[in-house]
Amino acid sequence: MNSGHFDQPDSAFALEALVRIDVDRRRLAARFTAETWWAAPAQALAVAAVVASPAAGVAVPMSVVAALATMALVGIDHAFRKRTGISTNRPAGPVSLAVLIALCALIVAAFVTSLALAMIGERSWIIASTSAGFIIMLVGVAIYDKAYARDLRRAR
Amino acid sequence: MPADPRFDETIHALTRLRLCALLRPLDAASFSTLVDTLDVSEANLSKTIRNLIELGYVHTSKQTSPERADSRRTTTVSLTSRGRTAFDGHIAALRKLASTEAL
Repeated sequence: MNSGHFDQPDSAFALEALVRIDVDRRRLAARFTAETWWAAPAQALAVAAVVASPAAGVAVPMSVVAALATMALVGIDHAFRKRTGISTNRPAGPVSLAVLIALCALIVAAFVTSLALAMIGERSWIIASTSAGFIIMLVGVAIYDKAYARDLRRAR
Repeated sequence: MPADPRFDETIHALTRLRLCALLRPLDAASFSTLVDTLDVSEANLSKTIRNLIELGYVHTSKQTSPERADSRRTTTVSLTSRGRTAFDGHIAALRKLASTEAL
């Protein structure tokens, strides 16, 4: 709130403050991306299990496998928050949001493919959709982390 | 939607401003992460957080931590909606001022 006694900052202070904020956010972004080396493969394995779950049998067995894999994803997220000290439930900006949407769409497509293969009795082909899901998630998480770090530095 | 530029003297001090800037894009951050990232002393950060809590700009929560050998809890810090509004206006004003200088 403005008061009559507040001396508004000059442009030199404004520039210095913005530079300091940028440095801080770069440090924070580096903390985030420092975890990608283990978080990406771990999440990729869990998602691959979800994509492969129709091979266990449609409905109940698939649901059990998917539920366990989802619990693993929650555990990975918890470990990530503990290691980074950062808690976030949303993308940091438009680029990370776009990457997240694309990633989710591709994973859903991989899962639907597995489900269709299971329903037509071609379970042996589920390994292909599972492999695709793993690679998509592995690469996608790495791209998302970089996009998140970029958006973090550019946040308002 | 961009915020209207609006200086807020209560977060004008650099440490307060830097803390708000770190918390703005996050849901929360741990106290130790903030100390490391801001490169300030724990005492300095504690005082800054206390001041911002009094203003209603920041909220803290404490959890027990299995990583600590003692009974102390870990603290997480987050901006309140009031804090986000104040920060958004202030940073918009700083950016406007800085861009005016650049011209």
